[in-house]
Amino acid sequence: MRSNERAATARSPFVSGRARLNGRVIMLAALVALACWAVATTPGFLTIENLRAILASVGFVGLVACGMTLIMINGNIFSLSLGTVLAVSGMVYVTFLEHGLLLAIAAATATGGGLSAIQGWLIGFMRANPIVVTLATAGLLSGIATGLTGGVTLTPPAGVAGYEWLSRNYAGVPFAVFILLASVILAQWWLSRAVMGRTTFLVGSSYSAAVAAGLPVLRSTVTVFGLAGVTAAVAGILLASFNDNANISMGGTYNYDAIAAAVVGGTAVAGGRGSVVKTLGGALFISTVSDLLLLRGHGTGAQILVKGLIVLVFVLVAARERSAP
Amino acid sequence: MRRPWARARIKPNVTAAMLAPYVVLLVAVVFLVVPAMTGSAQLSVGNWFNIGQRVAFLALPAIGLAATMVAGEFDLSVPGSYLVGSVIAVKYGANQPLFWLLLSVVALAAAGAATGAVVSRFRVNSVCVTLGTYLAMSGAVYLISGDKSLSFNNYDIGLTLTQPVVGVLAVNVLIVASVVSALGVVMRWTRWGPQTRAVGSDRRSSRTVGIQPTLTLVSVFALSAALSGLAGALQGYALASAQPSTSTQLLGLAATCALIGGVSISGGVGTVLGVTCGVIALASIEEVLTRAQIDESRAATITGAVLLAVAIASAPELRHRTKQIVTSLRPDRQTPTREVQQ
Repeated sequence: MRSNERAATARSPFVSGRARLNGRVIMLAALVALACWAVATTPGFLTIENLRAILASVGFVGLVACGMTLIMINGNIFSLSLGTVLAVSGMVYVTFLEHGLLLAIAAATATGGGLSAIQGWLIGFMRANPIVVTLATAGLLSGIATGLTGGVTLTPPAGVAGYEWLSRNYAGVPFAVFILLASVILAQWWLSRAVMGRTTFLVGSSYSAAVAAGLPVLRSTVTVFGLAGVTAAVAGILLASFNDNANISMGGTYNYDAIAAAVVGGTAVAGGRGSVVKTLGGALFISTVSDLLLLRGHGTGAQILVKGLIVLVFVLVAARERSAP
Repeated sequence: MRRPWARARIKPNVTAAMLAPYVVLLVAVVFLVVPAMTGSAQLSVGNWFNIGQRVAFLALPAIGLAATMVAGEFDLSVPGSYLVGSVIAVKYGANQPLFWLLLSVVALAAAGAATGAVVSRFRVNSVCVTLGTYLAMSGAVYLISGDKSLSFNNYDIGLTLTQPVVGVLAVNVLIVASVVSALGVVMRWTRWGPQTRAVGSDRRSSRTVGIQPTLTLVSVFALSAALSGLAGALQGYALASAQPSTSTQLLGLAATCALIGGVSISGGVGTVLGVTCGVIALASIEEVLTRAQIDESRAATITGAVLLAVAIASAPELRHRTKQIVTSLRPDRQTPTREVQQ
């Protein structure tokens, strides 16, 4: 496994150090310029309340982005169903709350992990297209969830308590942020230290080489999808606790936000390269930009438009790095 | 200069995959027609009209997406182009509908061409680039519409477009049918069709035989955006309304039609006729569900299940894996390793 480990951590020989540096310098310069401009021109940006609001939004997006990064590193492009998995898990959590908090959390994470792992199995076992499979699953799950609930918003049964601590702030920081940090540390440790984590990089770098080398490709794909489902489910649990309800539209734009965070964090969509810690930076960047636009009075449209442009710019920067001599 | 791809006549091998769209269409029509023939359900003119309207809504985005799939790419921005087309048409097209329709189609074609150029020039995954353009377009739609549903005052256009002129076929269906027929002719009888298939099959080899993949990719992405925009504008005029959204439902439906229509997700395979059959089949299935009074959520579940089924059916290793499973289940199976151990 030693040579595999080295291969996993090795950088592509086609990327020159200068090109990589240029890309990073551009991104860093963009961040610094954005921060300066924001501080100078946006009233209320540098306040404790606003920073807390940014952290709160990072907590949910970051968890989904954490799982999305694993899927992308494994070479499965990305998932378009994690937002729906988040919503379904949140709904399962709210439904099971009357049987106790622990059971509700277990049921929701098992649902999220299981639903996502099944998609991973279809993709890994049959080499089905990840975009089409996840798109279909999102539609299927939405239909089933809407059919079962009648399309209504689920609320915890009256008298059920004991879950409020999941949505509280501790030392001024939302609980979701602590969970996110723990998830990022665990995921990064898994990617860099665990055998299956390193296999994830190798499968993403070259699927055919991984198969030829006898690596557990299917197990790796099912594992990353399962873990992504679990992180989405945890985000669903926290979001449902925060909102005190859950519905199928709760997934919102989490898929796109998570993909944007991973792309900004430098995760290669073709697989084989990426870092959960950098994705956290990407999520922070995306949330800061969204917050900034909100403070400056721009609505949903401007936020989505800017996210799209950010994805385009970072994809092109990454492509330029890759194609540099 | 000799161009082997231009003169090559390849005798097609009729395979199950090639027949699939026609079989699915036949099954869908049988489900639609048989209950009416046996008297268990009525099949009215309204049912055929509804199928026509669904085809008018879906055919152009499905063919646009299919074109990118045949070229070995995937256009996630199909719903974005559709929304841009519909919102621009509804917001500005009350007095000059044709002008605004053409303007939105041309603008979207230019955006699509730029996407194709970027994909080809930087050799970057088209899914990522089109995700970015989809988000940018969705955001632009929210900005143009002011984050609210738009309505259209010129109801005459909508009434004209949905007016049946040939039997149950309305004007918008005939417009879509004309565009689809023209595309079918272009794909079948010009070099563009074989070139697109060649680029989707093997990009490096296609370059070797004199095809320019960049031009092909620019053209397919421009076509995809223009067709989706045209469908959006026609639908906006027909319904006299448009609203911003980030839903990918249209993408799912278009992908289902393309895959039912025999388009290979790995590129190089697909015809306009096959995708059209896929669209008519899906429209018929939806009409069967509507006639059976199945509610919207169940219909969405069934559509999602159909897409999942076609995604699995089009998986490259399905046959190999099925054989593996069948072999492992056979009672007389003898594994050499076990024999050695015994």
